[in-house]
Amino acid sequence: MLGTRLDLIHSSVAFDSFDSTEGCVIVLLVSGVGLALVRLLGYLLIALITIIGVRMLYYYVSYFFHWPRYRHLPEVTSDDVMALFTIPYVKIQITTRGSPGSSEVIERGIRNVVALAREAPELYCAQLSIEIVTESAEQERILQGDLTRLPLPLDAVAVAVPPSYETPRGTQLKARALHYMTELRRNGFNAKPGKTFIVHYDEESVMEPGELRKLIRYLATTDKQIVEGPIYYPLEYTDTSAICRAMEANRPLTCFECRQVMESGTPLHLHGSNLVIDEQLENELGWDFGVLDGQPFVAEDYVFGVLAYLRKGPEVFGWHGSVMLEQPPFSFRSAFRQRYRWILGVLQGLQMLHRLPRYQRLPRREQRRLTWPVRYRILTFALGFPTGVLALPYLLYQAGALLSGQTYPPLPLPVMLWLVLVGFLWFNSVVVGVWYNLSFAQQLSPLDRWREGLRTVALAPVAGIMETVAGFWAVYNWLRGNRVVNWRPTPKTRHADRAMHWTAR
Amino acid sequence: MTQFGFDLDVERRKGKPFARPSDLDSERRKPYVRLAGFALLALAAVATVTLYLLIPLMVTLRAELSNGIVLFLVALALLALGEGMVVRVLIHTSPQRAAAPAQSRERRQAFSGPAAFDVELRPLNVGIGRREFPALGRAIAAGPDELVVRVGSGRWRNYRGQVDITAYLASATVTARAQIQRAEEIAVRGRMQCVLHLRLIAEEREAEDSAQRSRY
Repeated sequence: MLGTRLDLIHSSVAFDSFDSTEGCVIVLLVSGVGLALVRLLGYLLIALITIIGVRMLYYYVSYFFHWPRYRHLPEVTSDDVMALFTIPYVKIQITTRGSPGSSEVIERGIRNVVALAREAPELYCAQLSIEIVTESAEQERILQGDLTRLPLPLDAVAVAVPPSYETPRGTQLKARALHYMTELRRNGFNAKPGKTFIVHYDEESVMEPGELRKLIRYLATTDKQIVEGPIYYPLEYTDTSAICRAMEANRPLTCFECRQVMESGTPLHLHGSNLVIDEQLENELGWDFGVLDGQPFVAEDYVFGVLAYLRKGPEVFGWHGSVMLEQPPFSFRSAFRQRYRWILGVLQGLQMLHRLPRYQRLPRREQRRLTWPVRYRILTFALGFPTGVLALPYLLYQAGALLSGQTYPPLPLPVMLWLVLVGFLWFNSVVVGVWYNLSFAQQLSPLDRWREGLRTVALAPVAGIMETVAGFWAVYNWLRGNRVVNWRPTPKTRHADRAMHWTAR
Repeated sequence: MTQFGFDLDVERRKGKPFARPSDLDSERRKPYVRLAGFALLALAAVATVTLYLLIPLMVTLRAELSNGIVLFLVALALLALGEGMVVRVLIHTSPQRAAAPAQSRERRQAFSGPAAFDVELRPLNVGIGRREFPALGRAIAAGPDELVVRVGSGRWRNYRGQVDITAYLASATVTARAQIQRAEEIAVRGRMQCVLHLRLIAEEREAEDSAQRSRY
């Protein structure tokens, strides 16, 4: 009977011709079910927004109340560096797989180190060196040729990881190359007297001379052994797709949380670039993590941080505050893969952690402190996708209610205020990100920066959904048991990005 | 390093160290096309702000404020206030402010070492430019009221006056006046630097301050 009379519901004319209570019952029933569904979705949306909102509050506590600890803004000159009682030796290590296009961006990073060395060659050439570790023998040959022609007597060397090289525990991917360098150093490679730090760069990483000076000054005065700083994404800015630029605007705010976790000594988050490690500690710990159920680790940075915490405690972690510059992925597909890899890598790390005897010996409370916040981070990342999708109809409903003159709020006032607050925090996470990214984009005119800022704000809702869909998909696959990982570094030039997509198809 | 264009001076002359030809595409477009594009982007951004921030706030406040214009203005003012708070932090943590003197205790504290600490020296003699005397140094306590400060220039060698000193300690920032008692010049990695021996005269300064206050 329901099926036969459903057509009445869709016809406004038919409503007038009801001559029995049957039609009214159907309408009421469908309306009731619809309202219940909407109400359920409403509760779900409030729950999702609350889960994400609490994490946002955590970011903003660091942002509003501890921002002076985030960056070291006063300029540090070479004279200031000279005035230091001791200057540590700084090895800049660029780790690359040797993918097409990577040489070009590696050289960009080296240019900035050379620029610093030129300011005071007698000081910096004695205290700095560059080590490039690549998996491509061809790239090593090319880079080595270039490095011998540096305009300064700066120690710079390219090292190729032999294809036959295996770590004792069979570690693969980037950690294998990192461990190869560690083994070389353990055997005396480029050994330097005194305190030595290794500054880890990705292929595309750049640290401008001013930030390098600040970093050296920090390293000379700190007793921390694993320190990090913020990363912004202004390089190759206009060559990347608009949606990727908008996606990258979500990232700089998380650096405020990064500062918080590094200074508190709980490595809930550790990124592999702008990571500075005391050479002695790195030699002691190494990067030989092995594999997890036959799958290599893709978040070697997070795994390293967790293992360092277990072996050395929270005291070794710190925050140096010097900015590293990187570039957004060139296409959405690359960005999706990148985010997917992060989430899967951290989930791998969590699973590995549970199997470690050292972790199992920790008190329950400390175990929870190490793992639950990480799970919560992943949860908020993954839930951003349904939240973004559900929020749009709710916002449109609100717009309709306002325009139709509805005077009563659809939800209790405290709930409404909470939702507005979370919306404000979310929106400003994009504003903060695009501000920082553009403030270092020297290639853009002020008008272009305004235009980029407006574009990012306009795209923020879409970018937010696209950003989190990768996290959602990674968690979904992980829960389904599909845990196959693939280390395909994010292409560093537009040409390489196109070529990679072409081969992927 | 010419093969890959490592000549920084050439790149710096362009003023755009990382500029690539594609960065400049937009500059070649006609002005009215750029203006129209800018207007469209501005409209889209305003639409996003309206949908995600302004309307929810107006709906929330509607029960309290019935007048539409007042409601709109109050919502806009609240948003502007919030944005002002966010932008204030952004301005303070962006490179445009890099040259500003450090005033915050916490900022310096984050970068202080465990034993030695940062100090900032300001010569009291009128007519001495700050740039002539690099102001940042590292200090260690040499007694209850004595400091040894190492500064990155030999120019302090002949200065024998008083200095205002701001010490960025782990727990607090302390400002005091000190008298330079002697300066030693040393060569570090080929450059002349100074080690200054200072005696704190904070009490005198406090006394001066209280005398000044009493005058007013």
